[in-house]
Amino acid sequence: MRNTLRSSSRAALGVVAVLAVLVATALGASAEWAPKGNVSWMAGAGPGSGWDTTARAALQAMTAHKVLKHPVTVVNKPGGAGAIAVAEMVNQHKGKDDVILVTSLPLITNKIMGTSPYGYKNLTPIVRLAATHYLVAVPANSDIKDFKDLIARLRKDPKSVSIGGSTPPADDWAAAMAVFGGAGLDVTKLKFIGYDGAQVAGALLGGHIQAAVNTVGEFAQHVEAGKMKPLATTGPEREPKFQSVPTVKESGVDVVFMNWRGFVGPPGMPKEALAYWQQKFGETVKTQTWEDLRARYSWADAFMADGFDRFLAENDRLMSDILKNAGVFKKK
Amino acid sequence: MTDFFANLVTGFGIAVTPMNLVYAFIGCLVGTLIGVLPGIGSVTTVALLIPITFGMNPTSGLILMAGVYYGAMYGGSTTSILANIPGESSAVVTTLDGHPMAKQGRAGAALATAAIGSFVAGTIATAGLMFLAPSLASVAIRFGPAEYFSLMLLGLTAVSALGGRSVVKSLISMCLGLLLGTVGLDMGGFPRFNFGVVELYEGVDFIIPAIGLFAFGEALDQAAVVRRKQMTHFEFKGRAWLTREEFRKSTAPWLRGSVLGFLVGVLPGAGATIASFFSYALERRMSRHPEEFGKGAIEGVAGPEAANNASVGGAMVPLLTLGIPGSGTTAILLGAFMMFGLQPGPLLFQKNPDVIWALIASMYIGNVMLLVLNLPLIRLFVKLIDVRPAVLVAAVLVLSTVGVYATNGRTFDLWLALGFGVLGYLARRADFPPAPLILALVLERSMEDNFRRATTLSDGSLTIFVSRPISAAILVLCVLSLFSPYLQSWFLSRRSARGEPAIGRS
Amino acid sequence: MSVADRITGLAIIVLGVAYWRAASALPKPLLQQAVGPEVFPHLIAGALVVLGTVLAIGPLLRRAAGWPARPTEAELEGPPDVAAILAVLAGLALYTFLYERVGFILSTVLFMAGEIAVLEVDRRRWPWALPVVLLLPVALYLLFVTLLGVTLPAGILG
Repeated sequence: MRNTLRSSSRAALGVVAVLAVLVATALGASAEWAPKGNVSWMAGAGPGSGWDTTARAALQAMTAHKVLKHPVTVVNKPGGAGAIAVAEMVNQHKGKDDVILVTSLPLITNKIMGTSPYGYKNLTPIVRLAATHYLVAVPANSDIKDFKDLIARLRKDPKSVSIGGSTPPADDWAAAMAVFGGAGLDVTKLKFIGYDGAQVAGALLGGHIQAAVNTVGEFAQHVEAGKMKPLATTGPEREPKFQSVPTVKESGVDVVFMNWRGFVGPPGMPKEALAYWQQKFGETVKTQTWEDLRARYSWADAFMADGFDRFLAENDRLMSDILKNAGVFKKK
Repeated sequence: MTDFFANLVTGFGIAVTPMNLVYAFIGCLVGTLIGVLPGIGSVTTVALLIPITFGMNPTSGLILMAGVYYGAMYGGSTTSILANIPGESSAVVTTLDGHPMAKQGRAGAALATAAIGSFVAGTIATAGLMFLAPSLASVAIRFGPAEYFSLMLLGLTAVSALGGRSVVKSLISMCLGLLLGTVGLDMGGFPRFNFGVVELYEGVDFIIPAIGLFAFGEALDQAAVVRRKQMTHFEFKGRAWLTREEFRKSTAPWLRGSVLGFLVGVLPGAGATIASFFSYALERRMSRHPEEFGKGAIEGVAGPEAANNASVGGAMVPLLTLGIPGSGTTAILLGAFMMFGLQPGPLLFQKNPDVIWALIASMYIGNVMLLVLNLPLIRLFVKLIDVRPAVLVAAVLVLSTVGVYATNGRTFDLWLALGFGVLGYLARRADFPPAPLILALVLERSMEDNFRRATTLSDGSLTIFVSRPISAAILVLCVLSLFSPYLQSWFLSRRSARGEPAIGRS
Repeated sequence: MSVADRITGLAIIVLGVAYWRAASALPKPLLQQAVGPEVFPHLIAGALVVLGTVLAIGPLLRRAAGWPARPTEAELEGPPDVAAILAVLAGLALYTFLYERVGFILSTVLFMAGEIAVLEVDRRRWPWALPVVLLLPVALYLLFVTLLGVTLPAGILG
């Protein structure tokens, strides 16, 4: 028993050393503001979730390149698709400078759907770190030729092609609604099948659905293996991985859709703390480690500090439109 | 075939370095110890380890994590048996006969059959993964919404084997579980039945009713008699090993559980829980003494424990060959692969054969280590709980509370668990079995979602469930499973009427 | 137990009806599906009403058929120690109330001490429980918080 305790405490030392604690080194510019003690990065879901991965990836890059001179702990506060963490930021951390939250699209959609009382306006936007683009794909042996062909078929009969994605209001679903809604289709007539995360790939490979929308990262390997045929991507430009695949926009539908990942602070976060984190994240995205991690997770470069608040307002309008077209405000 | 062995030898060559053996050992040890703690299931354990493996080479990191996964799956059985605390949904069935065994002084035997069963299952499942992965993966993707719905329905028929002397009460327990399963975010986009409570937005985590009904219920039950009976100790002591008879009785359930668990584990989204419940139902049906189930039948521990460990190997099949995680834990493992720059999926076997074969080799090694490690630990665990009943009840309540709180870090869940505790105690007094509730809660979402997907695909027609051959076959199994007790007794009576020996002698 | 069964049966019927009504009031889903979010709940609610009815009138039917009433396990065991049960429940409620307010270690020490004081009849054994009462909470806290990085409330000690 004593032995077991010793080896697990060794493992724990590993956690402490690698994950959380960055040994403070002597710093030159002492006038610059920096957080005093331990800083918390909150993630509104458990370890291994998208938010958690984003936070830990950023932290990994910061650690590797010694961007920070103080310890950071990633704190998981799961629940309510992130709504619990947001509520904690608003209610318990108002005006603080030592806690920030990693977030993405649900910050916007939860507020619009009414499942969270707080939205981006209740928080202090810090940075947009990266973006995820989506891919419209069909099985390799499908007779759907290209994206235009898919749209033409749906226009003739919206139920002729079954389309898979995530369940609403998650990102893959929103991407599909943006793309097909942007093509002028009535999205409420589509035969859209919602799946949990990765299961949609299996459904498409098994021929249970005829088309699917998912992140570029999740579908990339199946395209490379020749099991899926990519039709179009939703980013502003073609994907580095799929130079031969046109964007939705090139294919005649004027839509660009991305899920963003970023950090927000509590309401009333001090200005110097905001400036501090914007600068630190700015340094982080220039590191080689971050570049590598971005490539690994298929996150597009989308860093934005100033203007992040304007972007969120724009995103809020876009999502409101998408959700309205899908019928959120009907009968409520 | 020679290819397999050449690859496997290479794999062992990579896995069997002193350092990797140490990692496999640490993984199994840490996994077992953490798995023993309720509320810290295999998902959390593996997730917690991800940061530690940042700097390691991929092979060592994956070896460590595979060890932890195995260890945690096995460790979950310990608290189920000793304290009636199911720390994972797959360990719920283990309480049904494991804890009664402990109360009869056979805790050692229950733990031993779980440990050996896990070893047998892990080894068989690893072999299955090695030989059958590509072909099974192509079968797995033929499971569409209709097949999954039928499979979940088959899972639900296991309720009939989950004890309770009154069918009506078992069914009510099941319906309450289904009702709880509908709470939370619906696939249509809105939360259901959460009454504006944000803590219920994602539904009720199974751990809350599981700990409330089983652990709190059991503790209240003990509290109700401890003083009156002037108890000075529980009859937990006894041998830390199996009798010859117990070993003989366990053998067939280990093997059946392994095969069943592996096959169910291959299907993404089915997983360890269904595997363990299936195995329990199967063992009860096969048994010549079904009336002993629920009162300490060793087959009721051996089968499900083998099944839930074998499902780990099964779950690796879609993960490695398709990149599709079939369970919470494999989803975390997918993240770990990505972190090491490996992409599980159709290209993994071509791009990184060395890592895969080393992983498979390490799974064999991990299984042996788990067995060597745990047999001595059993003695320790059995001793550990031989304290005064009052102290044990208090400690069990504390551990259960930690398990509930640690899952989401909020006292809301504790209040909810307390409510389930009261309900569990009352239900026990009134002969309502709690296990059907947990099974139904775990199955509801997948069953309903797949039903809705299937009917949407078929434009509302129900024929999709019988026109697809796999789905139809599963539905036939459902019917057989419901009526098998009657068929069996009919056969038995006919045989004995003709003077033949009864079937089922193994 | 036919009285208890009758009351339980009625409660199940009421629950079924309430659940049916809540399901009928669900908002229109964002996915257009052949089967909406209210269908399964309606099926479950219907089953609850039927099963509740069977449970409530089952004993009457059984008596009418002349079958003997089956004693439940509880009846065989005799009356429970209600004081002990209420003490445990009150203890758990207080424990939960204090969990985040005073922190894990202190509330756990208090809870364990209280439970043991109630359940251990032999007072001479109390001092023997002291090491467990003091060490288990600290050990668990260290294990979860320092080793596993799982949050437990530190409370006023933190």
